[in-house]
Amino acid sequence: MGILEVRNVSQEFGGLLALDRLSFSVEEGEIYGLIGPNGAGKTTLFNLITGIYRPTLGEILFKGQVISGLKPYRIAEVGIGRTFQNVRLFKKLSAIDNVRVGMHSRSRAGFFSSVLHFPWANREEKQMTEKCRELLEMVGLSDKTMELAGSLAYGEQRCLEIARAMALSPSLVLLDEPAAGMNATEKEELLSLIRRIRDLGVTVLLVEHDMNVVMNICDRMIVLNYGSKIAEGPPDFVKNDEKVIQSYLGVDM
Amino acid sequence: MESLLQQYVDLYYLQIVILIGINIILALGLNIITGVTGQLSMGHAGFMSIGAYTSAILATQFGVPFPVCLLAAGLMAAFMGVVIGIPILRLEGDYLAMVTIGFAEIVRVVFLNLEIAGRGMGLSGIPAETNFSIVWGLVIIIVLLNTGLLKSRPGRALYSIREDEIAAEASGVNTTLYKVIAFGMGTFLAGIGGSLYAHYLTYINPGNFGFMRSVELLNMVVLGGMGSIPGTIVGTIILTIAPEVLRFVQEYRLLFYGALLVILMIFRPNGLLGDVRWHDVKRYWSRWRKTWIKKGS
Repeated sequence: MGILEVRNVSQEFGGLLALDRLSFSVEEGEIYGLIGPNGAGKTTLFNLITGIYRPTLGEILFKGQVISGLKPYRIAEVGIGRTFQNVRLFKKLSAIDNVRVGMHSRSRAGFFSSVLHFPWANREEKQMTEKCRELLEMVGLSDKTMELAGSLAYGEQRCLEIARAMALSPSLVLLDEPAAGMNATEKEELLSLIRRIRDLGVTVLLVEHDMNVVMNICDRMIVLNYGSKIAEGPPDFVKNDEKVIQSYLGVDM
Repeated sequence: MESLLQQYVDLYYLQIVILIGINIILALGLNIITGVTGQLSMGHAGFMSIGAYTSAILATQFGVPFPVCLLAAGLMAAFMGVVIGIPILRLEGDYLAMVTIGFAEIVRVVFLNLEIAGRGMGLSGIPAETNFSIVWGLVIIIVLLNTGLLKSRPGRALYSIREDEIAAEASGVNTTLYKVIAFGMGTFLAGIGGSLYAHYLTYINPGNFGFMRSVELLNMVVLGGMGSIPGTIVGTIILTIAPEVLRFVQEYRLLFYGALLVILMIFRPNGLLGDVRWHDVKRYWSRWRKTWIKKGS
């Protein structure tokens, strides 16, 4: 059984069927790609997994436990981190504070001991800061820790969002089009960053439009069209699937 | 302390300094709700009046000692804040503002008709317990605790809600809980401020806590800079002194407020100190000092 199981999930928006009885399973430690034309239901699926919507039908399991219906912050607590298609950072907080917020649910000091800055809370805060610096270094922002998140370049903002998601110490991260708006060099760096995340033992679920990125990095992938699965498998297999070529790559057979 | 101050400081100025302290406590409470957490509350005077009346009724009709009245006022306002906050904090922006205005108005009308609160006559003969040392002692304690809050994990969680609620939730912050906590803390300070205010004027009536009072408090937070403690203090000092300085144009005070806020929004949209960070101040200071030392040598 996979770390993430999507079972027969449907999502309706007032008569519009955004996802139609979708099932798939992501194995632990793999990079799983999710592609499909605009409006195929990719972001809807992300929002279902992270609890922003509750599925109309079906259920979602994470490590064997049903998570559909939990509140988003509970889903973050059980270990699913995410980034957003349109970067959502805390713009007026510094880069390191953005990452620190990501570590929110991993702190054990209580409300009053944190506010009154008791020694054990301060010690924990120091350890957290240390770990945040490491995460920022991992995404290549170690010299920008005190910059405001809103003043960073677009590519850097995307990386900071990944660092914030990693601060949860997640077992699964969902990346929603991480390469959007990046130039070729940044994309290269992003690819190696995603591989490093996988090497840390974190499973990656990736939505991406850039075919180069997807074909290069994914172990397996699923192709959606109009809310249903049209193909699933390793990149080479999916690339040669007739339906995929017709609906997604836009070539007449 | 008090007699010493009265010996050397003109009573009029002393009264203004005390009023500034009370307003700082009130504004810091609103700053937690609106400035830090980003939940637009326009009914702060309502919670202030709950504190003021709780304290005044306990003191005049039950003879309860002042420190107990003060604490009871804070707790009562915070209790109402949390009870009201749980349903209304689901609302956002303008809608939340509307509901808080409505709530403050309801509170005012209730006190206007409540026998024990003296109806429209208000309550008089409240013991004059508020003095310089109590007010400014409390200001110091509250500023220290507030600074501790904003530099801690819960403080960052509050800021993250203001910045982006969905992202905060996805980062593991229970946004509903933290919004209610912020509302509880803010209204607690409103209650404390209200109690100090009642024991400062010794006479209160529902007219002291109208909509304009809420707007005035909101102005202090916005003028100083949303979410900044030094900013809120500066904003409060300016807006408390302004009516005194502008005594000769008293009736045009609101005109002055309007003009001030318009000018501010044009030149400093984030408030006077809203986007000033201690980190940047230190950096500029060390850079400036280096160039200065070079020039000198």
